[in-house]
Amino acid sequence: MMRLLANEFIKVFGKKSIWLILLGAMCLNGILLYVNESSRVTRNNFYSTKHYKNIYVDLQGKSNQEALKILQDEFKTLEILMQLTYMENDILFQYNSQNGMLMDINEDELKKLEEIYKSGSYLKYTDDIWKEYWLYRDVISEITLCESYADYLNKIDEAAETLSQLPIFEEKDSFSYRNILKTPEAFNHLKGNKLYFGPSNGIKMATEFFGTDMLAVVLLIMIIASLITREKEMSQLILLKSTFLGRKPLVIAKLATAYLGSFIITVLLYGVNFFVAYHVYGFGSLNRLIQSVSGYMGSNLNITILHYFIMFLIAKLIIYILFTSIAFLFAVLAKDAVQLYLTLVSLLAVSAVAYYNIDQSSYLSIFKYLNIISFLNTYSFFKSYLNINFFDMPINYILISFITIIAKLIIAVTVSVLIFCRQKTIDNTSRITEVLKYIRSKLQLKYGYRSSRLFWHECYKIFIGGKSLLFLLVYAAVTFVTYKPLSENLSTLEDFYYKQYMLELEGEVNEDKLRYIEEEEARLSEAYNNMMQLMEEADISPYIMESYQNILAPYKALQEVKMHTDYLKTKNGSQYLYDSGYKILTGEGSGRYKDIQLALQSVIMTIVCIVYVYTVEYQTGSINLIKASYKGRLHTFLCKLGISVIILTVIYFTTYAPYFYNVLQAYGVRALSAPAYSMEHLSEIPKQISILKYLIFISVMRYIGLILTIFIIFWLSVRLKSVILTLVACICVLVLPLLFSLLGISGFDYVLLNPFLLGNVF
Amino acid sequence: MKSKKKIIYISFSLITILIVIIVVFIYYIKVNDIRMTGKVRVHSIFAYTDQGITYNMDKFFRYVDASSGKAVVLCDKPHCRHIDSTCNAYKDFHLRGLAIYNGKLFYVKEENDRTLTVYKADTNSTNRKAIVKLKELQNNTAAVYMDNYLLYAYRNSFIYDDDSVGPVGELEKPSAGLAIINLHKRKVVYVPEKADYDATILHPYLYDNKIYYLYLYLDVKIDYTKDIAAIDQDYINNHTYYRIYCYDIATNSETVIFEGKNISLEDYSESKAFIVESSGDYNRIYSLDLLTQEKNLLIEENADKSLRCFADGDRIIYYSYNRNDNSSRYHYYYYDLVSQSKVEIGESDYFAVISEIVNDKIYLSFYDQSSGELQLGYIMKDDFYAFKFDKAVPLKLEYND
Repeated sequence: MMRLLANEFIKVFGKKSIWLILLGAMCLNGILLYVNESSRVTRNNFYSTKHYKNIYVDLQGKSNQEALKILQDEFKTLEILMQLTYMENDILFQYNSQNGMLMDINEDELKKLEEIYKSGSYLKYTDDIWKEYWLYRDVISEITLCESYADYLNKIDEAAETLSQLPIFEEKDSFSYRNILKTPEAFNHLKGNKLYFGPSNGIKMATEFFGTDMLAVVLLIMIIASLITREKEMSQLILLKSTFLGRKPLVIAKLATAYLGSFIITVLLYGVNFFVAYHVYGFGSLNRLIQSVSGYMGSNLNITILHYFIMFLIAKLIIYILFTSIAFLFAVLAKDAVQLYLTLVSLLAVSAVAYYNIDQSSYLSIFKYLNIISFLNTYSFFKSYLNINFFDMPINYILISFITIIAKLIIAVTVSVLIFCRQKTIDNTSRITEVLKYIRSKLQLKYGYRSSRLFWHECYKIFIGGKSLLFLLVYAAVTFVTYKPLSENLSTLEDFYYKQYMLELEGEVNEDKLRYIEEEEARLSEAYNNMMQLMEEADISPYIMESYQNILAPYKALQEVKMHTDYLKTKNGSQYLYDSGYKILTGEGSGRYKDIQLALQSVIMTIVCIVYVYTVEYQTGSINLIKASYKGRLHTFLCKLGISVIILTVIYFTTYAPYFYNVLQAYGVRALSAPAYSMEHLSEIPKQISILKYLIFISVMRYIGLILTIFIIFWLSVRLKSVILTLVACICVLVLPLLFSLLGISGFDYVLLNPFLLGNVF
Repeated sequence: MKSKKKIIYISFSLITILIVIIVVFIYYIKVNDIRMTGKVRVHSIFAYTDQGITYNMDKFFRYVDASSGKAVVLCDKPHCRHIDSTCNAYKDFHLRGLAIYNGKLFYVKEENDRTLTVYKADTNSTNRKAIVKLKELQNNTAAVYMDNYLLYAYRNSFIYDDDSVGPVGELEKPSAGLAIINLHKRKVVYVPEKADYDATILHPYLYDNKIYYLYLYLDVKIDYTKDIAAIDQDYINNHTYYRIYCYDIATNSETVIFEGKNISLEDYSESKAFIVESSGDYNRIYSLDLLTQEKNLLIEENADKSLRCFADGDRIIYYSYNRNDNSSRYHYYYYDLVSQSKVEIGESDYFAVISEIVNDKIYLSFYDQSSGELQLGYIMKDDFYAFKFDKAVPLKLEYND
């Protein structure tokens, strides 16, 4: 049995390629983690990870009060300097009673501030006063929360008492009432605990990055595929099942190998996470309580950060083992790689829909919280106290999750073993292929159809044998059925007035248009001043108020027009145009996510349709015959390539044509010949490129990107010689970068084929 | 034999599933077949019930409890800090008509396509469900929850994507309408819209399966952006017309039951509406029988006194104050509809304006003598009638800026 286990382990982990892939995944994970954290912090908080780390390094060894005192004094100086920066230069440090009262300082203090300002010494960590301000604000907030923990715990008791007495929550048999009563008890044991500050971002960076779990899921699927599906495809499993030890030890050995793989993946990927997070931020003292981590104050676990790390890793391992068991079960049930792939994708998709759409206190919340996507967000077990609504009874989330995981694990393992042991034959011919064969035979009889042309035989192999025709038909049908005519996204009055101004001003910037804008501003300013005067002087009636509000409704839109005019003045030959539709098509705002979504669609469809082209030859061994035949090499390659390009073209038009049509039909096709750089997000595009030319250019780029996708799939097929492994590799190389772009990791817009597939990367 | 067994198993499973579906369906129908009763009127951002006030001033659903005076976020997690979307009561959209009604939270959400959707949720702000979709309705002028209905008055002042005005233009004659939303059957009926200068619908009311509402409009266009001194209030009054409509839900037809000028519809009680009529010589309070259209004079005061009144069962509470000076002296009375007599409650230098009367409470805005600030609060009816205004209880609202 141990030898069987060892051999199964060697089968998977004895290959150099698997370790290369694991190494690649570790590097990718580390890079993604770092890039994601850097861009998140800079985007949301302006300062960088280094600034955050440095301020905590300086505060090391100090108590909460000492740290707060230092930071608050320095923050006060920053606040005053910020206010001063709004003043004109000639009165910048001129003291008068008004600004003295406003900033609560005297003349001497103002002179000192002037020295500090001129020397630049107020910038201790960053190079800009705004970044410094936000950094201090965030760190002070984190330390203040630690310091006020005792108050927070007392407030829980007060809140529970208040809420339980409110008539609106007093229904004794309701989940709300029971939850309100149960919550203070869950926090009682934390009273008297003291929180010490420390860098929170490091801990969150190490444990909250979902990209790591996505990589882990792909690697686990790859391991399962190697263990089960590949052997099914190569028809080796029939032989293995008939060996003398029998099926049960075999399946247990395979399961154990998969679990060992889960362990290796957990250690490798999270080892990288902890390593990177430690070097970027540090963790501070690991003996401080978990509640001292920003965002974790609502946790009722009396554990330190060290305990949290250990428990987190154990929980993560168990969840990966659970996923492995479920994937193993599907692999045992699935007849081929495509079935396995589709089933797993469906499971993840359904879980994601349930997780993101079901309300947290709904009676359906068990489906939200007790599914694989929720479990993969493992940090949520520890982050905040939570009770699930289970038939109006509040049940602790951790407890019910633990029971559910163990139950699912036992069921998945038991069913996998039973089915594996009792499966009689492995028949790789699916019903659909049988039906298609039957239709073909009838067509041959009716039309006497026979051909010796290589091209037609390759067509048959790809469209019928590989089911590409079926996939294309389903894709076209789904696109048709889900097509919804777009309407302009004009939800506020400002949107409408902006459109009106743009249509009014359409064309090149000139003096008349600038004068029009000035007159509009003067008109609205006068109305605004009149309204303010009325509000101060008299009882303004609701009718008058409403009339003024209607008159001033275009004001915000006019400000946007003015800002845009300032931009247009810097671009020679630029034009005013109503660009909402073009913004969507050129990847601005929501258009960016649509680009990624369509790229994902087209890439996934291409993979699904093309993966079979070469892998089938290698799996069946017929490649040796083909290569030895007269037209078996270049000619065959060109036929396969030609057919693939035809498939690709159908996919391309099915994906992008309805989208382009929809947007242009909703928003119109005005000013297509205007320079593309009339839109601010395309400011780097040369003047000669009009909007129409730009749209054609990105469309061609996407088409080229998809053709390159074909070459990559061909290359991977030849190297891996297996449908499932090629599928997994294509996901890693082609799909994952797009998914990471979708997650907002900005660097991924320029990785591998993404610049071609997305198009709008300028 | 094997296939026979298979058929039996499949049939048995299907029958079991069907029975479960039927049972769940019947249970669902029963649970949702609870008729609603009562009345909650929404005043802009406030809705008053006998237990407290629901209000909408920031990104959270909020409530202040009358008996304890505690202001809370409508979230049942005691350990929640109510700072972001992890809070049950968090909302990142605009809404109107927020109220707790028959133990549920109702509101009208503005969607991205400018249409509105009526939502129902639990009082802990969870289980938010869309129940009725409305068309594009711009300004809300009145909202009342009565029995199974939400009566939602609106005014559309802008027109979009029109060839004559372009993407957006202001309507010279806004159109006023009323959406009668059946919360139980999840259906909506719109009364015929009326377009006039400053057309507005106010005070919708349900009685005996008929909807009553006040419609006011001007017969001339007034430019309010001219200097206020040039706007003659009397001129506006002379050109303002009022009608009370009756819309029959059963027959979907409506009639005008009252017309006039210089009037104000103040309140309703059972089958009566109470109207204040102002002229150059007098101010009068009338009762109007909605069924017979019979009009009875109840109170008459001099023209220099402004009147407001509120219905409280068999009584009409009213107060008057001098229009023409800066005095803040208010005189409080009530009129007993049974004995047809007027009773003085008292005079006060302190401003106390009634917002709503709900069961045993009168919600009002008043000057809190201890703090010297204008407060929102309530007074028990018995204390009000006994002129113990110092017993008014302030309710402190909490919200984020």
